Amino acid sequence: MDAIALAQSLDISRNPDGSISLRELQVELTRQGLDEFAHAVEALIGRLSPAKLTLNNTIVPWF
Amino acid sequence: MRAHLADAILAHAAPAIQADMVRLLARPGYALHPQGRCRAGLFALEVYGAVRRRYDRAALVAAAAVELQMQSACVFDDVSDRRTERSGSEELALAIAILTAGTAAAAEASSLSPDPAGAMRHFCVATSGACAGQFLDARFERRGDATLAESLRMTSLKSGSLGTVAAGFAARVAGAEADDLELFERFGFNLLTFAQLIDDQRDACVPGQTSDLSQAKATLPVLFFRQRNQKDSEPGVDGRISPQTCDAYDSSGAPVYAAIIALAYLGRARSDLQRLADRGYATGGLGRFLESVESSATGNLGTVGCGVVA
Repeated sequence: MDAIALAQSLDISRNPDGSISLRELQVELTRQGLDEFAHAVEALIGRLSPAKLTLNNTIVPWF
Repeated sequence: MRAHLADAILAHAAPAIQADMVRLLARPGYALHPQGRCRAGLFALEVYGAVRRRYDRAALVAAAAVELQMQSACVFDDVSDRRTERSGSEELALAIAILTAGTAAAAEASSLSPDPAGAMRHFCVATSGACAGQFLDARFERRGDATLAESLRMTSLKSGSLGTVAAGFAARVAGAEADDLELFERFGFNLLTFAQLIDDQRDACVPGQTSDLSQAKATLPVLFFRQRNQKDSEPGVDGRISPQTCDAYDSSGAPVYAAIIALAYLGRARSDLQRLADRGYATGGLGRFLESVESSATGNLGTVGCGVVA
């Protein structure tokens, strides 16, 4: 899994105002042949939450 | 599961240290706490059930071995993060004792498998993969200049290897076809790498001194942010992360970056599970386990910072 290629794609697809369009990112990833990440973006689009969750120190690791 | 863990400690640890091991693992967040989740052991049980379609003594002993190995890794991780109350050397001694008790339980479970030597060798070799991940974690944190590729390798080694241990060992004890062992291992590797990446995304940046950013950890979201916001990413003189830094983090793209990689691993795990089903294994329990992991990650996955739109 190419973590650097994904980071570069994210940088490239960032809009001038700093925002990130997941659809545009998906197109960029597909164009570069990073289909696995493009599918992951599709999965992410359906999960977007409106706000950051409240975090605290009592959260324990998944394991 | 908790009762079997306690039994394994009594059976495989020196009496002089048993009570301390049990006390440590009864703390919040650990397996013997009343709310302990024992997820690694339960995962191993589901793998066993997928192969044998039933649970027996070998399944329970194998699951206890896997859970003890996981608990050992958790104790070590805690010591590394300096979060525990005891002195680190005491905790490390207990972590080693827990790991050796787990290894002894693995030997007991292996003796009930069709290939005892193969099962035992897998348990040890895959466990050393997790050790390699811990090693890299400490090295990158000290070095301070890890690349994203190195971070992903460290993360997958540290946590994915624990999934490799659990799935590969339980599959061997259960007698899965030799051709399918790698598929079970890969499923475990991808699923637990996903779980770790979600934890890393969740813990990356929180105001105060507890986040991965404040501790300069080499996780993917922290590195992504630091590489693009060197000035904003430094904690204050008191080691605290300010709310302003968290705002910068939220708009940096780091949360969405981590979420995409996590979901890619989840996609791999789903594909592996489908292939196991196609091979005739009873994957219902594993499917429910995967869904429970995914469900617990839902809130974090969708929280990808401000400035991100569909």
